[in-house]
Amino acid sequence: MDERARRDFGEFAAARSAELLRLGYLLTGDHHAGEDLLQSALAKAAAHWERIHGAPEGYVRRIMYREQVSWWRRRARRLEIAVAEVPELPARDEVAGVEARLALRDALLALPPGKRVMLVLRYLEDLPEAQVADILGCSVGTVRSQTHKAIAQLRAALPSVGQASTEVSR
Amino acid sequence: MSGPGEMIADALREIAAEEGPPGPMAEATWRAGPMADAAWRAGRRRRLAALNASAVTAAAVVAAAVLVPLAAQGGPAHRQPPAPASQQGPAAPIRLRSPIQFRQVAAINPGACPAGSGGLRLPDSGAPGCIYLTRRGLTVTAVRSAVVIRTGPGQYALNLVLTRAQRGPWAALTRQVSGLRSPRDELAVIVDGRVIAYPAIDGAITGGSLLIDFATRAQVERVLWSLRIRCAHASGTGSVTLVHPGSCG
Repeated sequence: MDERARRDFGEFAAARSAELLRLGYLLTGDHHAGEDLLQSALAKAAAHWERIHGAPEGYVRRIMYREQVSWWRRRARRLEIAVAEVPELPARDEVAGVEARLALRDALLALPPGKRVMLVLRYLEDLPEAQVADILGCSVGTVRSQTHKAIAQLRAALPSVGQASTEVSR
Repeated sequence: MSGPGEMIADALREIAAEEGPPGPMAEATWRAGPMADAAWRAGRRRRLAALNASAVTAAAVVAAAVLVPLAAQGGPAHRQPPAPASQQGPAAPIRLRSPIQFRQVAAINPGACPAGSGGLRLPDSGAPGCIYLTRRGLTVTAVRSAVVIRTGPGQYALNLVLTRAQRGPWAALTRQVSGLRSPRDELAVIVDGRVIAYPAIDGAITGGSLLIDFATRAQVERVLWSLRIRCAHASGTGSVTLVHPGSCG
């Protein structure tokens, strides 16, 4: 039984690791840290493999999200900058340029991991706030405020990078 | 989804696509096998960590392994490269915030520890277990060096080099327990009242250098947190040496 579960687990890992590693990298912004996050989630999944047999990928992804956020909560002692209003990102056309896209990429990777997790769940996974709150074990209010702050941070980062590239081109 | 949402989703997708080797599946598949094996062992095996009693020196281990900064995700981590071991000279001992206890294992029972039994919970694993200890042991409050080594994807080892004063008692303890009937040949490694490993000892360890393996980053981070070795110097090549807190500035 255990041997069969192990083989099953190995097949799952072989089939889905590439995709899950991409998620790990996206959440951590670092290749090694992404591998570590996946490894840790796989170990937890292995411990309960028989129970989650039906839908292991969702289970592993969920652990990765939670672990990344709790890791961040444990260590983040950052000074948050409060924002009064919901910020708007520049229009889609404005980020069509390569520089602007790179700037958005850099700004996303510069976000604290917890905020990036929120954006991944809300916009990449396209989940409603209530479901994000359920996955991360926090309130809908926290999801809303963290998403709001994350977008504010992106917004703050984009114009300055835009100016810098203008100066270079002169 | 609204405009900004789509933009963010596109950018996130592009970042995710950065992970992965040029030959799309080859390396990922190569990595998946060892990762799955290690994850399975970590999740399923009663024994999570093992003490490697091989007569390695800290310097040899550091040279042979790929090291990564455990503080890398923490934002403004210290980025100065550590001085090579050869230039550090006879470093002052690193005083640990929490001592590390090595205690001989008396018995290991399945199931949770009964209240008031004096047993300690086994480290994370699929099945709960309770470990009982004898009075024989050694408490380490300072070490010559503590280095975290990344030994594979998601796998880490903590290499401790004991102080000269501790080497004799350590060698004596390992000599005493080695060869006894299992589990009395095992030493539990306890930090902050938690068992982090309980390796069997095969023979006297005289070199004073020990390597404790961890199957996940979370495990080694918990131990480092308990030891409160809080200062990590990372080099540009991704190595880290945990050094004396006083020298971190």
